[in-house]
Amino acid sequence: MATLIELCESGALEVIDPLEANELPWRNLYATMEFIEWLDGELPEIEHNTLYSDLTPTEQVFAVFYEYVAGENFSSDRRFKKLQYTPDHHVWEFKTDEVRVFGWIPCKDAFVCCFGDSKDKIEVNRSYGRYIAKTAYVRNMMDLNEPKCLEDRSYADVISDAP
Amino acid sequence: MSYQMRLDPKSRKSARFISGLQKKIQKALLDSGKTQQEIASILGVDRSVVNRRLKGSANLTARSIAEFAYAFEKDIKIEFVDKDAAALTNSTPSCGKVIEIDDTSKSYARGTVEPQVKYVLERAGS
Repeated sequence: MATLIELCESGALEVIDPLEANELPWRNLYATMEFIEWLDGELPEIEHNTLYSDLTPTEQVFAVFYEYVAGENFSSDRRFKKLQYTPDHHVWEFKTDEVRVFGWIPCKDAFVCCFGDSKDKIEVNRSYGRYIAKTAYVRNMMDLNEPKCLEDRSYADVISDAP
Repeated sequence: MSYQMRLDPKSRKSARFISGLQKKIQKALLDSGKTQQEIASILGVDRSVVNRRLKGSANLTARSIAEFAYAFEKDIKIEFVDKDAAALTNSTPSCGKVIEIDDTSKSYARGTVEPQVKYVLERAGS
């Protein structure tokens, strides 16, 4: 079993840094190698609908990642939320106008990105359940110290805001 | 080492500004205490128009922002200011300064850095 830092050192996880050089993180964002490949390969290829957003899908994801790591407040919008599913697999998502990112919360103020996809594609294929199951599977298979995720539901339990 | 998304500086700037603007409007709505329906009535549009403008950034124009301000009974102030690292919300004002730490602790765990070392926070944080 390993800590998040040890998993990063071993190459199982990567830290995503969306901040500028003179900024310090308030929260930590991790990603599986598969998710990093998706960021580089598939995310830029997601069809952009200008009716949805002025920002491209990549810019949308960058913006929400930036706001998460910078410690901005998420309680007044629904762009970071726990997915309702029975049984509860403790999977959370980041929502942008055109993209969904699935992952889990290993500890307060940390998030592990696991899968991402186009919002339209997910809704057409009704693949929320599949992504929840896949995320829970990756988490269970990961050599991460127990408890592997927080089971809380409220924002105050899983994230704190920068002052 | 950490991963940085492949976005040019112009796109990063745009993404941060537009997303931040959207959040500010949503917060102003909450602070106003008005419902989307009330805002829609004030502006003479359907509630779905207000909802679309709040949810997606695509319908945010200078006019729609001004109309929101009218509905919230607020004024808008837009300023272009010089870049100033110290004014950034989560940057430490100690960046670049050398901090000397007193040698008050005589013993420390193996593997930690000697406390008398001079730290540059920028480096320590990276």
